[in-house]
Amino acid sequence: MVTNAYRLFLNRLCQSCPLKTQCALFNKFAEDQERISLESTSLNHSDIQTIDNNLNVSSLQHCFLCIDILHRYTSDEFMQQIKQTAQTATSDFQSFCVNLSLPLNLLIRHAYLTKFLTNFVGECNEKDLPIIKDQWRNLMIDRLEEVLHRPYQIDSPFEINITFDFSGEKEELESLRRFRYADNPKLAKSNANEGFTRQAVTTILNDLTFEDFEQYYKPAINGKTTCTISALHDSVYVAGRYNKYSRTLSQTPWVIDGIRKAETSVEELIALPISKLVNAKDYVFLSSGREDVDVRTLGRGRPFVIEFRHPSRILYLPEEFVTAQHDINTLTKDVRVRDLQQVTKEESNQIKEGEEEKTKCYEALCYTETQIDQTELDQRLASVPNPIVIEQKTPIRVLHRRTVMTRQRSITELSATVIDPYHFRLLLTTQAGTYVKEFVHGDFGRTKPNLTMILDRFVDILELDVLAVNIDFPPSLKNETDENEKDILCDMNGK
Amino acid sequence: MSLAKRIKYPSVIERYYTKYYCKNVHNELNNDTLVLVHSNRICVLMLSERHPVIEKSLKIDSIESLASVNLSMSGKSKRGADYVQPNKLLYRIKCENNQNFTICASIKGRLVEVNDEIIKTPSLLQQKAQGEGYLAIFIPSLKDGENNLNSLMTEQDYNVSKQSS
Repeated sequence: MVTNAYRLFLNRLCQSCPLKTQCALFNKFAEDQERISLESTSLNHSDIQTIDNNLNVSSLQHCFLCIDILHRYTSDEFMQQIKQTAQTATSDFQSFCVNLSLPLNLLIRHAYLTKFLTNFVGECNEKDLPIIKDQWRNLMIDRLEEVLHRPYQIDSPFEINITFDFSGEKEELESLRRFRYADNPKLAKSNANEGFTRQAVTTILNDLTFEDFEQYYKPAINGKTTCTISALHDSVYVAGRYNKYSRTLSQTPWVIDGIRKAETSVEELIALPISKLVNAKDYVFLSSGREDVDVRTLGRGRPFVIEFRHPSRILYLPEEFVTAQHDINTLTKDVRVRDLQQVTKEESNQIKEGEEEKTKCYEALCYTETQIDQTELDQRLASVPNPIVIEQKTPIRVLHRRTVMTRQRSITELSATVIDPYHFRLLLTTQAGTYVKEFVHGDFGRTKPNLTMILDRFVDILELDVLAVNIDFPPSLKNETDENEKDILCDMNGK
Repeated sequence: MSLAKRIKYPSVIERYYTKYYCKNVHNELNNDTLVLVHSNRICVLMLSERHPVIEKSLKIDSIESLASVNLSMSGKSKRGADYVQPNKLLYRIKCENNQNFTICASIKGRLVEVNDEIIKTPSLLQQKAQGEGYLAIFIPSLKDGENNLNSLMTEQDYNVSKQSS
């Protein structure tokens, strides 16, 4: 069946389509049109008639080569739509970039045009045809800069996505399928649900000749073009340090099968008040390590970063975070936040950097069933090497969600103060990733050496506090001079 | 804050585990094992406190290992580890007077650890039966975690049954 869709190149309304006017070969063809007799090609008259009739009947006439992208979608009206979408997504973006997505059948049409021109005018390659995306940008970018009052920057954190869909795309890709499996109808059946990727389409098009096009390609004349505009700004990052004064609060929300098991969490107590300031679709809470539910975090606190995704506002004054920090600290006595500030994405990576090397300081309240005095305590602790290297098999209490392995960790400071003959406070500084509870009681001897071995008696842990997380991030804010005093008070009285 | 002197605090086992017992493992009389079930469903296998090796302080000549963990085990879900049945042979404890005890898994689950220390130091079984003398560690599926309990005895029932024997 002869299609001669190329008729559509000639009979379209958009004689002024840049794809034609910017293409030297096509211009030459248009000039020669009068002289070349198209009737000399083996065309069936009635077929031409049918195509022509369909062209007239079709209500939504579109440019065959650019499906209106360079016409309707370069209008002032469309520009206003882009402006609207952009400003609704993020009100204060500082620059923008545009990403265009086109339907795959345009590849077919362009390949067809190159084959046609090669056949009737002269050698025509892909690079002889103007590129739709470039043409669109030429027509639109400067005007967009004016309308949005912001510069176009290719690496802008604010991306406007414009996706063009064509209702006849699938139908035209079917032509390719028919060509591909022409000799192999069985294979066609087994690959019935095959989806076409850009790569796949390009590969198949390389093998088609003009005659193949004529035989197999049937353009979707009545196809309609639609467009979806969306805009997305890079995330806003907010960092700080938190203290945890409760022994019944988990860091992340505790939800099982959709049912909430605990009232709230450290993450929510911190992120929810901030999310009233930073309006965004959702957030991700990251911290430099984590403590158990029954462990307090004292001292300067643990660094955290919250990534707010799809923010509707990206510029903030430092004072706004001071207020948010104050809100968090007055709303709850279980958590305290300091040094709350906006940071860049690069800066936020510091929170996970050097995870293995960082150290933490702990204080553990321990008891024993065999009396011990300060002298013996000092003696025994002094007898171990400094640093002491321990080997910990994955603790049984986390074994259900951690890999089975043995971890080597070092403890650089170890000292203790007796409270009474059966209780003492242990102070220790450990490498990140050390399970302190297991170091004290030994976890059935699976952590070695452990405190029961060092003190040569049964020891167990009653309470654990994190005194310091030794990371220099985020930077301390200047107005925190009276924070140190507050620290000591809070640590002692549990806020 | 002042603390009272000798308070009886709950031990690690009491804090995290529930005790279950399996009697006459491998059909050997009094060859009872203790299964510590952690709140996260992981099971630690030990000898029962009433096992003759402990109660009668039998002299242990040697312990033979009959099973090992699959070395291809990897990842959080312990892929590759053997999922064993309760009758999976783990150890043979050889005592004086030709008294031998064969220890089996006693439960269904992934075998993720066997305790090599007891091979080197058999006395651990007697001195640290509920500590360093543990036998093996298993991770049952969520379903088996529950079903295992049906074939084991609770601490209370076990103690009652041992009194009458």
